Amino acid sequence: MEINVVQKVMKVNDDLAQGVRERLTAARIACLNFMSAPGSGKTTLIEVALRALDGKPAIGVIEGDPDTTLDAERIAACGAPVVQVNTAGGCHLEANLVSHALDRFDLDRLDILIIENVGNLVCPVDFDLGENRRVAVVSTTEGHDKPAKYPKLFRTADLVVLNKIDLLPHVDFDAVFFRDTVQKLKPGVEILEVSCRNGEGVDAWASWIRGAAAAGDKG
Amino acid sequence: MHEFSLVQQIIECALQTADDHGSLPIARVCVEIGALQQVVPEALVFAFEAAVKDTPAQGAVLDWKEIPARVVCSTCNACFEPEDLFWTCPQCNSIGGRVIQGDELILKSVELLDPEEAEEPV
Repeated sequence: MEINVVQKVMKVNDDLAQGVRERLTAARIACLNFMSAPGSGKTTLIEVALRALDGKPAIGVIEGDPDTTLDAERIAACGAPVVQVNTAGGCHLEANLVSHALDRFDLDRLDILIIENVGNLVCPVDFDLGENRRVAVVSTTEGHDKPAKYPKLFRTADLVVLNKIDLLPHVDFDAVFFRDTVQKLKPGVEILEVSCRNGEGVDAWASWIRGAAAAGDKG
Repeated sequence: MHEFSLVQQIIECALQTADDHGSLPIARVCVEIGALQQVVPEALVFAFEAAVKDTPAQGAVLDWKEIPARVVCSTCNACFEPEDLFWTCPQCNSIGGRVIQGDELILKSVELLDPEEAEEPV
């Protein structure tokens, strides 16, 4: 006996993500989902933005990692509310984890929620977390071919950050090829070049985050 | 890990369907895998076989069918199946478009054993 079902397999996650989106929208909080390979500098990018913006807008952070609270400790040291989510080996965050983490924030005091996903260029892309914007981060040491090899992340990104540009003279990174590939995958997408080490591009990066608060529109 | 998390959702939904129809044993679960889903069908089948063990869905088979991607050109609105990484439009040669098919993983149907079949020893 064949029973027709026709249901999205991701429905459970999608429904929970929509719940997260509705809670954040009601609290007028913009939500940003940061995705990249491990070690590209997501946490450092968040740290420099927190220091540059100094609480205006107010930013909370969810840190996703298979293990440890190392990243949450770094964010807490910047004075921002942070919740560490450990996936115990899981390769991506799912909406139920974000939904539980939300309970631990005072949403009235936040303008932006940054979710730092588990370092991985594949799996996180398929899981909606309730975000308004997706940020893809690539560092110069990873190679200029990453957008071509992991196209879906870049097709769905609202911003692409090229990090560690201070290392460009020392690595074989073809920035023209990189930009060209990203623009072909997501025509018109903004690309920011940043060095958290020497501060190049940090002002533009912090401005982008400030502007993203408008998506939550707490003013 | 990714495939395992997907099959858990597939199995949950299949078991719910079986429950809704008198808790009959599940013979087959059919899914449609969009070409733009980052899913390797063989890995999904492997994860499914591992995940159904010791559950009421034990013994069920996962069948899959790939659904090709279809994109609407953002310049000329032509609808096409992308053949390259950058989704070059075959009509106007411009790049990029809006996905209208191929970005979903759908649980299409669940085949349950009829009560008589289910009672027979396997």
